[in-house]
Amino acid sequence: MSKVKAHPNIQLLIPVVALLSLLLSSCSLGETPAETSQSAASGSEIASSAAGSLDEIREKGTLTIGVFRDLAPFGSVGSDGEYQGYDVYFGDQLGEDLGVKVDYVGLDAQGRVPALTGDKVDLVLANFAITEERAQQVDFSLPYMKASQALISPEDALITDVSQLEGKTLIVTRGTSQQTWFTKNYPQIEQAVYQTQSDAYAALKDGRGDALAQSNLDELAWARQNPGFRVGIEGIGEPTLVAAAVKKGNTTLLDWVNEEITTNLPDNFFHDAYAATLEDVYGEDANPDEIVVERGTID
Amino acid sequence: MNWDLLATYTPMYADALWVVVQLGFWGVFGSLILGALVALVRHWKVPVVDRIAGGYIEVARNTPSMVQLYFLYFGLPLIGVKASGFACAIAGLTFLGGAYMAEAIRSGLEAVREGQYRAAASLGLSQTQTMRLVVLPQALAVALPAITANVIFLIKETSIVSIIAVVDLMALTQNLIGMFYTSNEAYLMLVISYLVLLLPVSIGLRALERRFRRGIA
Amino acid sequence: MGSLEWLLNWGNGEQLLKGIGYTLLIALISSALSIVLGIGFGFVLASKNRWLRGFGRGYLEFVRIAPIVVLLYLLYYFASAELGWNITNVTTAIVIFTLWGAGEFGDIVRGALSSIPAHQYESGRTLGLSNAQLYRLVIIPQSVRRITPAAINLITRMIKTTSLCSFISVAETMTIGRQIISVANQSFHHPEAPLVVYSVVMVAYFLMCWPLAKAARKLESSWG
Repeated sequence: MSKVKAHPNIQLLIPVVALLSLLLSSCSLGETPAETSQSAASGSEIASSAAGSLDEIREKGTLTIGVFRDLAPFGSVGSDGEYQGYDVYFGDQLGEDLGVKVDYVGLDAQGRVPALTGDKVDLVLANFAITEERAQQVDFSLPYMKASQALISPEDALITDVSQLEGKTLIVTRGTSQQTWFTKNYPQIEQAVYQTQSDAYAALKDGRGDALAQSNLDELAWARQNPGFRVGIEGIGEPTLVAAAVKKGNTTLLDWVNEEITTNLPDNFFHDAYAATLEDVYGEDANPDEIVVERGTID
Repeated sequence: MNWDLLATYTPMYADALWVVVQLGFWGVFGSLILGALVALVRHWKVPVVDRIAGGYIEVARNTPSMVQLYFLYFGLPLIGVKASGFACAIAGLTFLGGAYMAEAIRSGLEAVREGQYRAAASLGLSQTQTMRLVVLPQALAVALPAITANVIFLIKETSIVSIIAVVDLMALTQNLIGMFYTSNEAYLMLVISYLVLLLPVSIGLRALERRFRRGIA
Repeated sequence: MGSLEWLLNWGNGEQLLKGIGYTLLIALISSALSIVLGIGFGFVLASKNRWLRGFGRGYLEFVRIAPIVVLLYLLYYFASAELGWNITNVTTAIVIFTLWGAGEFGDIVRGALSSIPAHQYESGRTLGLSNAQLYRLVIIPQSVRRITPAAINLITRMIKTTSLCSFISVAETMTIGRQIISVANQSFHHPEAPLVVYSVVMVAYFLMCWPLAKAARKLESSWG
């Protein structure tokens, strides 16, 4: 077959060296925000180096929004192939007010920040909770929803206190604030980390973990549809605020979204969004006033 | 590049690397055993079982390993077969690798010419002796390049076990980046870890190939 | 409504077909590009120039050792954030698959070229054929017979590997399958959804790949 070579392993070293040097050289590149000169609009060097600034979106005629495709009732794809949910309701309104088409991109929890830093989407509306780490990577708008962490577990083995998780397995989804929170605050609790929310819930159903940590809203919705499971603990850690996110430095888009929230959206817009997407799901179990945030202000 | 962070990450990557090594080892082991059995069944054309073996090989080689894993992990519990992520990963690797190994081993067996069997018989060697001293070494020599390719292939296939919550190198990297956004450091550790694993394996297998080739005239 | 009915009725079946469309799109385009580039790469690998050959082997080892998932991730997210290479996920997939496929196919071409006995080259020259004629009339037709089964197998491998594109949000077969299951998991009406959906997805891939694999084997035995 192949002739015997004198130094067969040198060929192995070439790609190794190449890749390592590429990675190491990117360190210096990593200090400054990426200059997306290829995609920046013609000539007009706007202060923000982020592609997807307001003018560019208007020029393109499309607003690209990253949402969940498998987290009903916030972001999901119906059997008609259309995106729907609380986040999507907001996204549709933004597109209408800006006078452009909306292009929805399905993300998983872990893909939300890379989608922005990698210029894959202009805006993220995906149940995105504001955290310190994330705020260093992206810019958050004013909040439009409140949530807290909760634990859901089988009714016959209900977990009512975090300490009960010692020696048990906690299911989380990769890239969620719950994963980060539990890793930082309870590193001794064993986690089963799944790629998507749907896999995580499927695992809970299969009994592959003793509890699942998620935002209380997702869990309430799921629990209502799946008898045998209940939210055992609510309000672990601090309450979180869900907001829209843009690429760091994309001030034009961010300011516009904030303006929408504080001024331009009709009164009680988010209550309407709740009524359209969440009311049927929660019924009496939840009070919209405790979930929805109007005008970006928490009372 | 935060070099202190690399130091913190090293033990975590070492653990994940160990998981991959275990998966690779048991996956290859299982594949070789299953592959050898299936190869023999097909080589000797055992009635009925030969057909089943053929069907198995077709399914395993014509469907993505990702679906196979999902099926084993999320699908089977619905008919009562529930196994841990680690067990499913090894089962999946064995299922997939077995088919490829079977083909490799069978091509090796079929490469041994008829005359070898007769010559061995005329020398008075028993069936077992024939297999052990004459057939298998030659078969292995022919099959070895394909087998080594399959070993590397299987080790690489382990990179998707993150979907069933097994913490391998990819899963760890994705976790770290997902939580702390330290892409540079995490990817660097990932590349280094895979090289630490695959370079010695690749070099070792190639040396094995060379030794075998020299052993046969 | 039975699970299989539910899956095939409604829009679910239609979405699954769209997913399959993406799978085939990526696989076929990448295969075509890989085959074309692979032929060139095959000559690089078979080259008399030691450095060219060495570089080729190094590249081949690299694409063989690096897991595709890692490469997809690096190009789609990492390269975009750090180097500004912002390309769509489908393009990313095609690029990575082609880089890998061209390497693999190049090795196959090299094998085919080197398997043609030396006397074919010599006889051709003895008959007074020019280099171009030699390749066109003698070498290439024989090589094509040897590499065609491998080319078809490459397409099969590509189809299977597209499942990894779900990691970079391509709405291909795997992603759609999981999406359908997530809708099913929202309620208790279809507890057997995972089993049914993954089985259907496996059948879908099988139907895409198996005919190709069979065709390749037939060619191998009749042309071999």
